[in-house]
Amino acid sequence: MKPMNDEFYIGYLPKAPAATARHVRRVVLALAAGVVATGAVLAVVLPYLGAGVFEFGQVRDFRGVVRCDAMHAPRLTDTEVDYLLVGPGKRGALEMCGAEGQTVTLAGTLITRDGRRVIETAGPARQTAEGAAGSEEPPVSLGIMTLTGEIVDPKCYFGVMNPAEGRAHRACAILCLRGGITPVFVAKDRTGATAHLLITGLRGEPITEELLRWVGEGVAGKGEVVRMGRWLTWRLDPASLSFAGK
Amino acid sequence: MSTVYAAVGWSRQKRIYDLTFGGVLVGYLAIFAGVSVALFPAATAETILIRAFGTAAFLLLHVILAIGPAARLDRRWLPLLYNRRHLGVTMFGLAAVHGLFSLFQFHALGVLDPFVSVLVSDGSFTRLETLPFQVFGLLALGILFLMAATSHDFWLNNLSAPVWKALHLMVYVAYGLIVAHVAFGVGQMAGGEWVLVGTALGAAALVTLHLAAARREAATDCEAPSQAGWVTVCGVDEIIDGRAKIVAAGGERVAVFRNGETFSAVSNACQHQNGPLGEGRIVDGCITCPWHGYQYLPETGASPAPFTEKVCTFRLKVGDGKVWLDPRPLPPGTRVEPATRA
Repeated sequence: MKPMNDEFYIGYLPKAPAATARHVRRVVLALAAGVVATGAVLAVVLPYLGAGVFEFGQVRDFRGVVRCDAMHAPRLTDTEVDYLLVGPGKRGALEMCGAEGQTVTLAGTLITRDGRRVIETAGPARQTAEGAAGSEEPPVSLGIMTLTGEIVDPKCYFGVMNPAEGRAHRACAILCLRGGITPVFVAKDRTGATAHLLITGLRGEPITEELLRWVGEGVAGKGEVVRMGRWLTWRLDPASLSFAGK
Repeated sequence: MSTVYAAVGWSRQKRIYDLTFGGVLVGYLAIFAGVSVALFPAATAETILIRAFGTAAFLLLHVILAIGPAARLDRRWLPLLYNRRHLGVTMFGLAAVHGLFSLFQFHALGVLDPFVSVLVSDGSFTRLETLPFQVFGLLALGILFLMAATSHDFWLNNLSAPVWKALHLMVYVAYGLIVAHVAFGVGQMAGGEWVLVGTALGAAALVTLHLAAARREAATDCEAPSQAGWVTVCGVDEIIDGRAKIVAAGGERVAVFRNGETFSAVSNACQHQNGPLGEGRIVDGCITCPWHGYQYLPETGASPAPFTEKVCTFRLKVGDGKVWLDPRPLPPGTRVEPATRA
C-alpha cells in the first residue's frame, strides 16, 4: 500500500513540510486573487442607484414662507425655491406646520437630487419681521392619472442615502414614513423618465398607514395629480394600488 | 496542545497564517471600496461599508465551509484547517460590522427601537419575494456570535467535544439563513441577479465538495465481517508502519495503528475536535491527530503527561496473518497491551 503523500503536517511545529507548504502557497495565491477579483466584480455589478447630495454637517439658514398641505407636507417656499421639510433622523417636520403662512428663518441641512430640494431641519422656525404672508395659490388640477413607480421616503431618496430605493431600503423607508416624513411617489414612464409627487389621500389627507405595505415595491395606482407651488401632489386612492413589478 | 489557556497559542505558522489572511482581507475591502468610490462617487460611505463587510463575510464563509471537505479529500489543505477558527471569528466580526452599520443606517433614529424595527418594519410575509430578509440575517448573526464566543478551547473542554461540535455544526444553519438573507435582500435589487447566480454557484460548489468528502468517508463505514465476537480489520501487512486503518465496528469508527511490529486500536474521534485520528500518524511514539496535532499513547489512548486528553481503546489480536478487533470500547485511557505479529 503506497501513501499518496508521505508528508505529515503538524501546525504547532515551526515549519510546514516542503510539498505541503508549496501547495498551500499556490492555493492561497489563487484564493487571494479570486477573492480580490470577486470584490471588484461585486462592486461593479451592485450599482449605487441615486445621485443625491446631502450636505452633512453644513447647517445654514434658509428663509421663506412655511406652507403645509392639509397639515401633512410641510414646505418652505420663496420666490425661487420650494423646499420640502423633514426632521432630524427618521422623523418628519410636522411641527413646522404651526408656522403655516408665516415668513420664517430656518436652520437646516440641504438635500438635493434631480432639481428637487429638501431641508433637514435643525431647530425651530424663527419668525421674521415680515410676519404672515398671503395665502398660497390654490392647487391646480392636472387630471386623474394612473402612474407606475415606487413609493419612497424623500429624505433618503433625495440624498441622505444612495441608494434609497428598492428592496434593501424598504424597512428604512417604512420607518421614515411612520416617523411623519411625507411619502413621495417616484413615477417612471416607459422611457425611464421620472417625476416626483407628494402623496396624499383623495381629499388631501395623510394616508401613510395605507401606503406602508406598498413601499419599496414597483406599484401602480390611480389618483388626481395637482400642482401645488413647485411640487406635484398625487391625491391617491390607496385602494387602486397594485404591484406592478420594477 | 497546551496545559494552560491562552487567548491564542501563537506559533510561527499561526503568525504567517494570520498575516496572510489579514492582508487578503484588507485587499478585498480596499478593492471593493475603491472600485465603488471610483464608479459611483455619489454612493454614501455607510452603504459602501455595509456592502464591503457583508460581502467579505459571505465570501469568507464559503472559504471556511470549503476547507473541511477539501482537507478530507487532500491532506495538503490541512494547514488551512489548522487555524480555521481564526477565520470563523473574523467572519463573525465582519458580519457584526455589516449588521451594526445596517442597524444604525436603516433602523436607528426612528419612532421604533432599532431592534424592534428590524423585526417588524419590513414584515411583508405575505409574498415570497418580499420576505423580510433582515430577520434571516439577524438569526444567522446570533448563531455566528454563539460560535465565535465559544470558539476557544476553554469552551471546547468545558462543553465537551460532542456538544461543542454539535453547536459549531450550526454553521450550516447560519449558512442557509445567510443565503435566504442575500436572496430576499440584495438579490431583489438592481444587479441582484448576479449575486443570485454567484450564490447559487457557491452553494453548488460547497454541496459538491461535501458530497465528495462524504462519499470517501462512507467507504470506511461498511461494517467489517466478524467471527466469534472479533472483527476482521485487514491483513497485517496492509497497514503502513506509523499509520492506521480505519474500520467501522460496533457502530463507531476505530483507528487501528501499526507502530513497528505492534498494533493498537483507539477511537477514531480525537477528544479535541473529533478530528479523524486514523488519518494521523505516529510521531515520537504518539498517535498524532492530523487536524491540530493532539497526541495519544497507542497503548492507553491517553495523552502523555502533563496533558490529560483520553480516548477509548480497543483489544486487538493478530492471527492467520490478519488483525482482529474486539469492537467493545474500553473506557477512555484504559491500557491495552499492543498486539504483536505471531
